[in-house]
Amino acid sequence: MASGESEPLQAPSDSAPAPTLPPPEKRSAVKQRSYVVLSFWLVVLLLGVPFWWKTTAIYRADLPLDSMLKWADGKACRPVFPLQISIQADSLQDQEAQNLIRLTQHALDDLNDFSGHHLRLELAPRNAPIRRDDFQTALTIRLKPGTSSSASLNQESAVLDITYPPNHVPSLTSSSSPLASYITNELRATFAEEQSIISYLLSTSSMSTGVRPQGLSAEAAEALSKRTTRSLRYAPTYHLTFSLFTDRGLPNTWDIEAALDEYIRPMLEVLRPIHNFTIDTQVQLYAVPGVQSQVLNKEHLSSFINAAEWPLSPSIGKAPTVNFVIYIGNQTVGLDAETETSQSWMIPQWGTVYLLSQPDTESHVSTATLKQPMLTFGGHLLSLLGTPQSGSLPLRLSTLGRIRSTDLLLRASSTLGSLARLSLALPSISIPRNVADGVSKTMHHLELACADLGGPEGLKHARIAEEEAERAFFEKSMVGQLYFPDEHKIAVYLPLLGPIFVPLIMGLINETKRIIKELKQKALDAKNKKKQ
Amino acid sequence: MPRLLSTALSLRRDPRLLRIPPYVSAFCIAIGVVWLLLLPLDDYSRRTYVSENALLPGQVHTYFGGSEQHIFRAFRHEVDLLADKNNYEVNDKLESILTGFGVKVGRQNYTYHSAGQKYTGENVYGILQAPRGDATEAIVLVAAWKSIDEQLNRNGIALVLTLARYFKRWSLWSKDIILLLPPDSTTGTQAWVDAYHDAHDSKHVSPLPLKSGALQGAIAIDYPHEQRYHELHIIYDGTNGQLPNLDLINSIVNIAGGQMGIETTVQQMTGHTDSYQDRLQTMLRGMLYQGLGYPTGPHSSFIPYHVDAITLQPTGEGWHDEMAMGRVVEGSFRSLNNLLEHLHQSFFFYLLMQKNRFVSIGTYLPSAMLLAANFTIMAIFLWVKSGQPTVKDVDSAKEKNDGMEHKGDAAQASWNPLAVERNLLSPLTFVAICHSISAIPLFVFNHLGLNTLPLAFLIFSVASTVLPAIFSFAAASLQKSTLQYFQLTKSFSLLILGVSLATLSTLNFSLAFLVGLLASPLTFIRPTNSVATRGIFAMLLIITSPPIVILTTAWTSGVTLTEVLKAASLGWNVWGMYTPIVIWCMWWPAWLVGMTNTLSPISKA
Amino acid sequence: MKLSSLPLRAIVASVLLATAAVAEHTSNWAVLVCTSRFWFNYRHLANVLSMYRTVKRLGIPDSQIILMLPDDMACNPRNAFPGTVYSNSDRAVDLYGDNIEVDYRGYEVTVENFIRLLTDRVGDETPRSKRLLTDDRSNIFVYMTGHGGNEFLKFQDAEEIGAFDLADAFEQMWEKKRYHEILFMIDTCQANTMYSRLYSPNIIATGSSELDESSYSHHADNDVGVAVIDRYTYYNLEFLEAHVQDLSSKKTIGELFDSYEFDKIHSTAGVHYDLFPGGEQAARSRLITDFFGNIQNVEVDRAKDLALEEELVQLSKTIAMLRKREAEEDAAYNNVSSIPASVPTAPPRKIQGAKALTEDDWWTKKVIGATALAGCALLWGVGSFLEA
Repeated sequence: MASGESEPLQAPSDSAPAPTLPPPEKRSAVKQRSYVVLSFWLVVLLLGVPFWWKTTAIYRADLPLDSMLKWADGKACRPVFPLQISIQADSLQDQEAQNLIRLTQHALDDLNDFSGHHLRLELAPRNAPIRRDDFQTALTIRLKPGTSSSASLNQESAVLDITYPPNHVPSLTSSSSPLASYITNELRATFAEEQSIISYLLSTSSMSTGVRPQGLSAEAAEALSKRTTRSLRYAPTYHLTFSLFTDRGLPNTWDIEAALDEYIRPMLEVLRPIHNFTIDTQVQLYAVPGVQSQVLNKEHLSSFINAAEWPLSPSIGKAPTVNFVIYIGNQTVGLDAETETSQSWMIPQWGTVYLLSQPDTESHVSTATLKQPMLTFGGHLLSLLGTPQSGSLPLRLSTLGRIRSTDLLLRASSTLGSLARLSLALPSISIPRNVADGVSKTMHHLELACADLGGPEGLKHARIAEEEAERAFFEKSMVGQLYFPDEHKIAVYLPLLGPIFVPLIMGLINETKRIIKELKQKALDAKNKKKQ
Repeated sequence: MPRLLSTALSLRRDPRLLRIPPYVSAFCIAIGVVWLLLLPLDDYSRRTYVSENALLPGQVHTYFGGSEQHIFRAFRHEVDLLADKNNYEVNDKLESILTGFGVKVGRQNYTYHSAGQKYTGENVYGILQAPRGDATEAIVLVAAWKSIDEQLNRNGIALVLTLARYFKRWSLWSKDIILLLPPDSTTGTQAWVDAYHDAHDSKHVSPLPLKSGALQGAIAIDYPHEQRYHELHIIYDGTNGQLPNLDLINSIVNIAGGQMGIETTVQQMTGHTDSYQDRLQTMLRGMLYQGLGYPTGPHSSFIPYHVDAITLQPTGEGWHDEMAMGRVVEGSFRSLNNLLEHLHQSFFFYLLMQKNRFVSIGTYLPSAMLLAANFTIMAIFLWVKSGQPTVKDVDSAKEKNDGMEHKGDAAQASWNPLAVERNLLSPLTFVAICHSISAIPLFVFNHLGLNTLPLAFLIFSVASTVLPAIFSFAAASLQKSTLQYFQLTKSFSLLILGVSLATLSTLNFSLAFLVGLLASPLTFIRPTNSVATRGIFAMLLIITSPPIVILTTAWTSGVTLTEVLKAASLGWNVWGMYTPIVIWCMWWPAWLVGMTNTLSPISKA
Repeated sequence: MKLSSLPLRAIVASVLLATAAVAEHTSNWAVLVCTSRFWFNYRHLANVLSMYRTVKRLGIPDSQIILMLPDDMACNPRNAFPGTVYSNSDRAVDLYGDNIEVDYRGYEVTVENFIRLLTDRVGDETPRSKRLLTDDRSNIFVYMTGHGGNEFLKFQDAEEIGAFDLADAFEQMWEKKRYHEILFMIDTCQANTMYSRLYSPNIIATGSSELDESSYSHHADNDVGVAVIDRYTYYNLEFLEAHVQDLSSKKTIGELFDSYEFDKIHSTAGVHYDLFPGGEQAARSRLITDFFGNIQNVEVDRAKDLALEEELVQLSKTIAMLRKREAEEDAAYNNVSSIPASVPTAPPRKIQGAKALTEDDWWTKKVIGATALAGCALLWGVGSFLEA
């Protein structure tokens, strides 16, 4: 027997000290033991491991990472803004008109250095009425014969009236025409601001491949950056707050409803296709401003609003707030001696403040007094929304629509890119099903938006795309403490699984040892037999 | 390598190994005692520190003083007027005073019977509700009518009344303050605390009409004399040797010493010079009180309920007055007020050597454990030896094994793994009888009247000296008491003693240490056949027997036997002391067995 | 794998950095977090509240301050001066005051809520006052205080946030362009380890003590009974009160950092400039009011007559009227009501019907249960029959 086994102690006195041994194990018992060990291991491997794997795996929905990154890099969509310009030339012959159009188009294409934003000219049928809200056409040019070349932009609709001297009409064979170049210049001037804004937007985004930024003059660049600084982030709804502050007890009433109806609501109507608005008003008495001096210079203006004590920017609803403040007081704004300023200033991305002086005993602010501030507010509202400065109102609004579409497209794409990078970088974050759904919806709408960037459909799809992308990125359940040091994992698994695995492993080791021994024995027996 | 292993393994069976254990036991006892003596050194003891961050002791200004002094004098005058009234009249007056502050007052009757005497009384207490607190916790301020020395606790009661009025004016209490004024320092608080936790015996103790939240801490004031004091004596021992959390003592020391400039002492060590002798003396005194398990003040009743409590006793002659005392109490109540949960960060098991030095259980426990271990080692050794064959058995076995080669001396041969059958019945019966008759002294001493108690004790001492002789005679006549029989009896009784002492040392270190030390001769006493040795052993054992030890202690400390027995009975009946159990049910049976073994002759098998 | 290791980042970062460095910030936000509760941690709440008062005094409105306080010291029964919190034993300024807006209070201050706040992954029901609505032109001042250790910060005695998690949260913010620049200030024990793992750009970080160093409290108020302010915060406040009294101050961050001395703070305050573009130079030259105050570069209107605006209003009216008329014509013509096509219809949201609390199929369940039991009993009976 092996040396380690102990001899049992003898029962007392009579018998000889010859130890007896227990009987050897039966063959079937040995086999049973190996079956038991084997079955335990099979259960662990075939049932336990898959269960554990499945239940501790983090659910990560499949995201189309490649296409998301392509969108983020601008490779999936080349933003093009095909704008239809229809030309009404009732007093020209068809052929001449077509020729004119062809020449103008050539001139436009030659001079255009922003290929994405291109103007397509087409001839309007004769005597067709000008439709106000024709969504296909961005601008209509009415050609009328006159004494000299002049152009004027109709204020009420998207129409450009051009008069031309008859001798400028190109003949059918000429390759250039002063009229054509005149029309070209006018068109370019009209759309210059829009082009520069859009190209600036595209060049500063990650979709800069394929877009050559225009050479911008310093002034233009500064104006553009100012515009981006000033304009509010896009939101489908804005909350406008009109506040009256005074540092005394009077005035305490104002005709705000009438003033709003008169001066502001029309503007909001006009902007309805692009944004919704809700309006709130308040009066605050004994409101002390942040600075006390009589003449306010630039620095004082920054801290005029007493943000600590004035109740502004309420947290009602989900819409960002634009504040329009009227302060009753007789302070004056003094910058440097030369520039004459008015009583108001605009705070970028926040709102406007207007200083109104009233006699001390007045307790009511009438509509007439409110006219000046309201007009200022209206104008500022358009700038705060990012409307370009030049052009007629309808053109400005349609430009705003296109700029917003671009902006939203870019935002949605970059959000997709961020989401893709995030899911790659944090492998232990869980990605639920609805994020994948959101991503596919976003990409669908982005494609639709990209296909129609110039028109209103583009804005609609871009809005939906941006909303879906934000919702997918800011998914509530994708948060958690993701960093667990290895010691924690050991500390959790070891007490749990250690006691289970010790007997299993010991059993396996013993079985293996026995099998090896048996094999060796067999080999030895075989060798002995061979010898014999 | 294998040869080394086999030599090591064979060493296991070397008979010389069996001679070691007695020396190991002696060694353990020696080390245990020396360990204890080393503790007061700087290397092994530590400075105290406040562990609970929430306490922040000494960081508040205390405003008790000024006009409060006049109010205090007025109350003291009132107390003096009540000096010889009976308990009920006193309580009536105190109730009217407390109600005058706007404090809710309750009264509780109780009766205890112990050693034929009746202890009745009525507690009066008031609950000062925290104006902004939520009444889920409370702290207690105790001043007994009769101080620990049975004097009128005039300044203590007056101070508590003044403080009650003062505390009522503050709105920053997060816990209710309960003002307890029991009639004496011994039984009143026990009745009150038991009733507060609904653990009282309703036949003798009436329930409390008013209760507040869970008790977080208690401070008792024992201030009978009128002159200005020099230092503050902190009494912290509780029943059965339980101690309050060290943080409570640390914060009081901090507040009194740091902020008020009042010295503090523990264990009546005035003039502690921080030398080794003083530290050792403090520690030994602490161990003595802890070992006796006797409650040392009104605070002791709180500690078994895990409520940290101490008694403050101004002592000495100096220049601090009662206002300073009031400020100390105010400061400590502000600290207790900051607590969010029971004190738990600091130690519950410690030995204080000085107000700033202590050792914790991890450091001192080995000494008692070693003492207990020595019994266990001896027990195991005796068991092994009892299973060993005697020389006669070996010879008879040798005759049967002709073929084998044995050298003559059994000691030089390899150990023959022959075991002898052990007769277990008689040893077990004897040990069981000894342990079961231990119930007799336990019952007798806890229930006899005071008159008969000393006489009964003396009779018992004589009986206990004679009893072993009777047992040995009876055993000798009933059976043949072989060496194995004695080994087995001793083994069992030492095993029980060792294991129970080891367990006891975690609960009451000092008691385990003292009993272990006094019982250590039991390890070495062996049954012999020579009369002289027997006589010496018997004398040694009688000197260290429980009754003789009790008599000696009473005589040396100047306390009469009656008082000792009365206190023991009171402890059992009122405070739930378990020291009698340890003495009569653990130590005395072991002594009996040892004594019987000594007196018995060994007969051959 | 960190986000920074992807190659695309470099291109994006360079483009964005170019614009970001040039562009200035347009709004200021502050996230002030206290992470400990209980009376003896009074000083941590006083730290945060004094920072709150500082940023409010310098103009940041409450809607742009996120204040997280886990406990209410002012109403703690142990407070000898109820309703107040002081950070100085002279009790000159009551930090609680009458104008305070606490956004996350009590047990809402958790690690999860903090990370959700930074990454804006909140549910729809969260009000705007509890969200960090920053964009890529917002400067954020993040201040944290409490009990901390080596690369962790303890939240309310129950959990911890690790330096890695904080770094990942900032990186997610950077990915989503939710900040322009961040000033991260932390006052705990071993504070500097907390920002050692940050890897997003445009962050200046400063802490109160190095690894294995504790941060100390400054002084205690003997009537309140606790320490009322920590050293690092105390000296920060001293500098800000003395030198940055209003928004016109031109003091720089570098000067603030220079005022930290070991003798005063009793621990080594650290600064981390590596993540800032332009390194130490650029970071130190930033104005204090860039982070602590609310500077808004206003555009003053030139004096002009408002004829233009008036025209605008008239035009709007005309256009609106004309549009309406045309829409009516169209409707009459097509017999369909026209909706301006550019207004998107909101995706139909399914409102979940309220789930009944009581199950109507109680009986069905009982029947199923009974059947199952009967089946089992039958099996057992058959089995024992066969065996016997």
